[in-house]
Amino acid sequence: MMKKSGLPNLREPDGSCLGSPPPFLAVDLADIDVRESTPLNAPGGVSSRGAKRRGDLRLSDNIKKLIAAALVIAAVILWAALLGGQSAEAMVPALGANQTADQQEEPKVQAEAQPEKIVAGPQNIKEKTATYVFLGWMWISIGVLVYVLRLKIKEVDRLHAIKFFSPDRK
Amino acid sequence: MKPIGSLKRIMAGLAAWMEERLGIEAARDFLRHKTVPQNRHTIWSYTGSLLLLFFSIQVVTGIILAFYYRPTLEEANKSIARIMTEVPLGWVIRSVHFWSATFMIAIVFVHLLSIWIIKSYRKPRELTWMSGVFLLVFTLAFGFTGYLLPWDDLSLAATKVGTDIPRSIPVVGAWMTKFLRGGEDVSGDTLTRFFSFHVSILPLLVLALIAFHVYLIQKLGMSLPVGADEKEEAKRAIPFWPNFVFREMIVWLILFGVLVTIAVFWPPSLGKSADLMAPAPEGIKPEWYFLFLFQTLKIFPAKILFISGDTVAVSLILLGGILFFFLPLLDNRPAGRKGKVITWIAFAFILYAVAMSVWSLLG
Repeated sequence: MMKKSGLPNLREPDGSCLGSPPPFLAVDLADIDVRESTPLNAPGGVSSRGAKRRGDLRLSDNIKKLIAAALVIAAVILWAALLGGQSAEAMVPALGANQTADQQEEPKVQAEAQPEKIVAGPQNIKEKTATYVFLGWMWISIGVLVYVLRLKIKEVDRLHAIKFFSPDRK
Repeated sequence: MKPIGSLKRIMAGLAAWMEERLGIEAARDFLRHKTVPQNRHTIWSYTGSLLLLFFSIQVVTGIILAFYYRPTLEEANKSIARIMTEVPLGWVIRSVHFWSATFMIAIVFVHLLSIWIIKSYRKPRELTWMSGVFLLVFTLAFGFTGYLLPWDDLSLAATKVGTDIPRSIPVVGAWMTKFLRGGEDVSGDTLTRFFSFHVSILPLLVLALIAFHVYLIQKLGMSLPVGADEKEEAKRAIPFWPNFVFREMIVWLILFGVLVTIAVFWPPSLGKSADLMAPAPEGIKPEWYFLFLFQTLKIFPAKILFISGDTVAVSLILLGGILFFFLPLLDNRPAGRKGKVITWIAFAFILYAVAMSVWSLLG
């Protein structure tokens, strides 16, 4: 279903559209062409700065809520981790899961107490390095993805604010 | 330009082929028109999807662990040791499985308690609540059955204590203990039984329940805060796809990062292989999510009048569980009523559980 666009018609000689969107896009780019070419004061367009500002406010509220959600969840996890860690140490008085400095100072005593206990961890320096490199890469990737997602949220919230996908608009 | 154009044509053709067969566009359109309320309680909506995330992580890491794990008396502990020392990054996979279970149980508690406090269980969402309580029970059962699988001294002792608790239930208690253990005492049969529960029966039950739970949420929609104006809420609601899903993805990513980081720095250790004849180690305590129940059982005296203290304690805990399950029927007032007493009971329960857990840890 092609709609008339106000933008120059970018087509290849074979007739295919240069900007034809991949099927997984949340927003139909062909529709965006139509909306973006619509004057701001036209019916269905963004009629005033107020609407845009409301959209921004909503985004700001959402981000605040998101941060609050992340904080609540982080607090729960911290609590669970704390309790889990303490519980594990209470259950394993000789050797906790975490190798502390004190424990490293007295390896012989521990070895005598429970010689068959296995403490998890990297097997060699290569695995240790690989693990830390992976952690660094993972957090950088998460940072980038969160940044991209925030931009996407801003975009889809704007589209929602102007009722872009509303059935009344079609 | 030409190769790119050809590639685009192929992709467009493939997309059309898939669309014709799967109807993805219709599903996407449906999700786009499904809305999620945006109000002061929206943050609790994220806990539901987080449970799905952690359950998925459990399934994936559990399958990897199952490649190497052997549920027999002789091999169980050795196979875990092998996973931790010989399998490349096996210790990380096991640690992620362990911590993901911890996160999942913590978030199940948060999810259910939040529903309790904001009273989203009220008509017509009674069945959603009840299926959620079952999900909590099954999640705890996952934790309990999984705890025995390393087959070290602590897991054996904890399972002996844990499976002995139902014995105090009047009438069916002894039978339940025997059923759980696969005999009179904890043995190799208990291990294979727990393994079977952990990897086949419980996952199937949980998957079925999750499907039912999600179906109910889909059918009834998300609840609104007590006293909210429906028209105002409808105006503020955002589409589930993509607006809400993108927000959820941010929380998923951050928590996934936190999970992996904790798993790397605090991996669980493994004790020596359990000896069925050895006495239980001193100062034995269950996992953190059972601590408040454990401490509750401990504070009861051996005898109350002529009844065993354990029987009284277990009966009271069971009664509490039944009341919790039937909460929507007990508090069946219209959705607009605040129900302050119910809220205070919820906070009292949280305070009690935290206090008992801390007491148990310090004791």
